[in-house]
Amino acid sequence: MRPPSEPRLFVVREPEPEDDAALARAAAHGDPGAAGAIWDRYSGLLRGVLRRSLGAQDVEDHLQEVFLRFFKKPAELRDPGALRCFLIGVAMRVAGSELRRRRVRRILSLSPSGELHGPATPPLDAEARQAVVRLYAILDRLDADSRLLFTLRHVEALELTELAEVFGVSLATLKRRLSRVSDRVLLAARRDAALVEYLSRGALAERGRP
Amino acid sequence: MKQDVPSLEKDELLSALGTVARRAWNDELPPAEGARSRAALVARIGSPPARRFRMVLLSAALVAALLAVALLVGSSAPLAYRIEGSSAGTGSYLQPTGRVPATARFTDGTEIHVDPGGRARVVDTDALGARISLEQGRARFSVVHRPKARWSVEAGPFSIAVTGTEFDAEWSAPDGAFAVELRTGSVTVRGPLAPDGVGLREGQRLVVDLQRSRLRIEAMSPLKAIEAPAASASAADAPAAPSAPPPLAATVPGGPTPGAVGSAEAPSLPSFRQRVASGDFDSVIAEAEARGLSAVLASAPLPDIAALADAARYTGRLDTARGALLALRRRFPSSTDGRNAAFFLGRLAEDRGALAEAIGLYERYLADAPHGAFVAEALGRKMIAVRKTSGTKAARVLAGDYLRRFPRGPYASAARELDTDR
Repeated sequence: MRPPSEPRLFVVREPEPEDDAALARAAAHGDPGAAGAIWDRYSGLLRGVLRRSLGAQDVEDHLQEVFLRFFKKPAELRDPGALRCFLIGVAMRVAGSELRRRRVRRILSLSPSGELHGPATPPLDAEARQAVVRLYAILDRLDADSRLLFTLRHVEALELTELAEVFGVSLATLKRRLSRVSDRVLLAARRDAALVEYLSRGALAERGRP
Repeated sequence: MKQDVPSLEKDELLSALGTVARRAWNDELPPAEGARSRAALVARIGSPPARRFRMVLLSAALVAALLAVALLVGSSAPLAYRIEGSSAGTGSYLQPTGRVPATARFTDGTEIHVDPGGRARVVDTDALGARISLEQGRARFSVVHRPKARWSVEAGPFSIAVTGTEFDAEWSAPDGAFAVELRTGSVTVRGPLAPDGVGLREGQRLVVDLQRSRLRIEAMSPLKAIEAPAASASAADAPAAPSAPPPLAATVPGGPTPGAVGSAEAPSLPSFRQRVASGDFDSVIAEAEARGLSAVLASAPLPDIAALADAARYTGRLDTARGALLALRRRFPSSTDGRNAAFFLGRLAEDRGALAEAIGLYERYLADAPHGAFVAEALGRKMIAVRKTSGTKAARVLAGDYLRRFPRGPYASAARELDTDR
């Protein structure tokens, strides 16, 4: 006869799902439902941030790391209403660490190819795939913070005020940094005739859409 | 590639670069994979802080002993298993030959039997359990309970978290049909209609019809619950008709007599919410009915009505569910549950074909809770309903809005189809 199974209770209701502050407070109080609720709300956003910053490799591991870092000390979030920005900030730090680690590995030639992990491109047509590779080759030349700033603003379309909070700088400082990074990327992109031509065709098609 | 193309403005070029990066990956994670990641996080964070702290101290004190034990008994080694009766060439597949089930026997005593016509795979194993993928058909699981055992079964977009238990699972991808019958123990099922997880108790059956967006939990008859494993293949062909719920005394161990259920003299009875969380839906409904549904809906506190609405939805008591949701709207309009009720009422209206009413309710929810937990779902359902009532052109506007707001949302594929179907 098998030993009796222990009943296992899973919380199925979120604590105030519309309210970030309530979720953050629930996490700080150790509410067992908080992890699932915060995951449901932010895993998609953070997965996108990580995937577009780092490529597809190990993205779920990095995502777990983001949430574990937050839940290790949820009380560190002083303004519970700023949960979204706080989590993006954690994701940024996780991605930054990973980018720096990869760079060191490249410098030390620890990876077999001596290259940074490029984007594991999905099934795209050849031109699109090439454009992705060219864009990430440009981003690879940026330092980790600059790359993340560019990604969060121009790929994830985060608001400037959010970014200022995430990076812990004033709005004016953020704008200056973003302008410098954007100019660097644009300069490199404009030098890549094939990339510019691909982007131009896409942009023209967008203009022509009803 | 030619270079003589019109030069782009700075903002246009930045926007185009962003689009290239956004298109680089399909962000829609397979639901089962997403559920697995979520379950992993919840499991890792599951213990409360004080307990975690104690565990850290204990771990520090016992680490040497644990290492020694691990070395001695090899407890960190993954479970081994043997597969019998499978036609598949590779070692991890269970694919029965003829009319005999294929069986996987694990070193901890756990057994998995896949019925003829089915196919399953042992995805991976570790010291605590294994991950099983039920790709098609019906399988019986007898998972031996051990401390910290961690087993999971994936079937299409569903995942079943298991500690120690005996249950049958059935999955048909073409029909979008999923069922779990729990004989002993407890499991938690997560999937498209139960993203937060639904707990099942002994003797309960969960039936999901993805094509009709229906999830139902019902009691199995006592005879069926103790059915011999060999007979369960024929049970797969039996209609999933609801059977009589077991008596309350059976579903609420140690609980008071039905007449006294919910009385002030029964403080030890778990709350409605606790009972819903543990899969005990029937007793919630039985108690509400014993007290008088009208009286409960008129006077019970918000958590009880919200739990009653959940229990009624899960068990297919649609009238009761509707009554509870309307009571939430009427009595607690500014609460989260009150606002969410509009969304669930929309789902109920959609299920009975009242699409115009459903659209109105989804719009009400979107207006009342613009950042609510079900916004992506409400906007997606509204888009689908509008396509049915007003055609593709009308739905296309919603599709564009949906993709802007939820490019990785659950209805993104449907929205893309509409958006590109010009």
